[in-house]
Amino acid sequence: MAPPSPSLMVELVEEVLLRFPPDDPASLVRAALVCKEWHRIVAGLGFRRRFREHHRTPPMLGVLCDLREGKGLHYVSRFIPTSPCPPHAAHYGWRTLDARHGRVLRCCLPWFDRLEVWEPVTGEHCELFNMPFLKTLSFNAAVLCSAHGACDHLDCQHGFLVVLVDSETGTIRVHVLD
Amino acid sequence: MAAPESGDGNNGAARMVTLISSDNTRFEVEAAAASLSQTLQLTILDGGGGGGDGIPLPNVDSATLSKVLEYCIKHAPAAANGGAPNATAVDRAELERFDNEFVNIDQSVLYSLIMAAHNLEIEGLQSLVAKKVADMIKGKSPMEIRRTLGFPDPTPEEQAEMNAHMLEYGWAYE
Repeated sequence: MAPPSPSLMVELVEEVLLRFPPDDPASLVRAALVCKEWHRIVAGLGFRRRFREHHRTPPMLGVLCDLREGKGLHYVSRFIPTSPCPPHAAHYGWRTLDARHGRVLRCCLPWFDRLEVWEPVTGEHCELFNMPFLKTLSFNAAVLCSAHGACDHLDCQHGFLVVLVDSETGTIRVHVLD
Repeated sequence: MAAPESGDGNNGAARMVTLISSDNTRFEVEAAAASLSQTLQLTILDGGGGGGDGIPLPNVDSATLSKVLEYCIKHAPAAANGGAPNATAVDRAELERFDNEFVNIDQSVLYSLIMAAHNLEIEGLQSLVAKKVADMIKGKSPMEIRRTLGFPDPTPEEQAEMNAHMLEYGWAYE
């Protein structure tokens, strides 16, 4: 029996592609290049929503590793992919404070005077604020999705907020930044 | 999925239905097994398919239907138990072994099966075959996927477009 024509398969292509492993995004990229129809399917919002619903658990794409290079104040935050996905990135002068729901919160070294949120998958980054007094604080911070309870965090398209805790004044203070 | 009431007054005997493939082969099968197909379930619940009537399936040939029914007969008891929440580990392992062997077949049969599972709305079978096809192509390049699935060779224009995209998404080929 001859294989059916590709047009017959198309209505089932989505069913097949839904079952690609989520921790290997490269496989979906390659599938998108098979033909225009497949590209349209993979790029479609509907497919992406179904893909997330099918797999439920977001994949781990890589780890962030904070390193100090040499003996001086040379810090580097490296993103080391654990799956074939971009980016292979090294950011000098940053230390990672937190990573959640696809976002990375990091502060500028050596003075801890700037915070920014970086999205490794899109490459976008957003400097939160420039607070010179940050460097005088003893603090830690976390980045959270701002859609309280309304987001399943499989693909956060909402904004984010940063919660910063400092204990510099002898009492613990919590700052919420959005 | 609930199994249809068994018996047409035949105490204890499972109700049978007849399915007719596109090449006019008749298959007699338990209604509970055929009801794994959402499409057939409606007809069967309405009392169709019994006696000499039979349910014609103009889109499914006899080789494919035979394979589809092999799956349905094996999975019917578990489906009748509502997905078999109380199935033993042995039962589940046996079904898994069956599924693995079941899809270890020629590619063209796989395509016919997935089309039939889609048309007959047999969710478990469609999922099983889709997973098998996904496993066959997930590690391949776009050209290898095209060849595997029997696409015609790309036109020079399509080939140029694919090459340009492969340059842009080089990380997906490392």
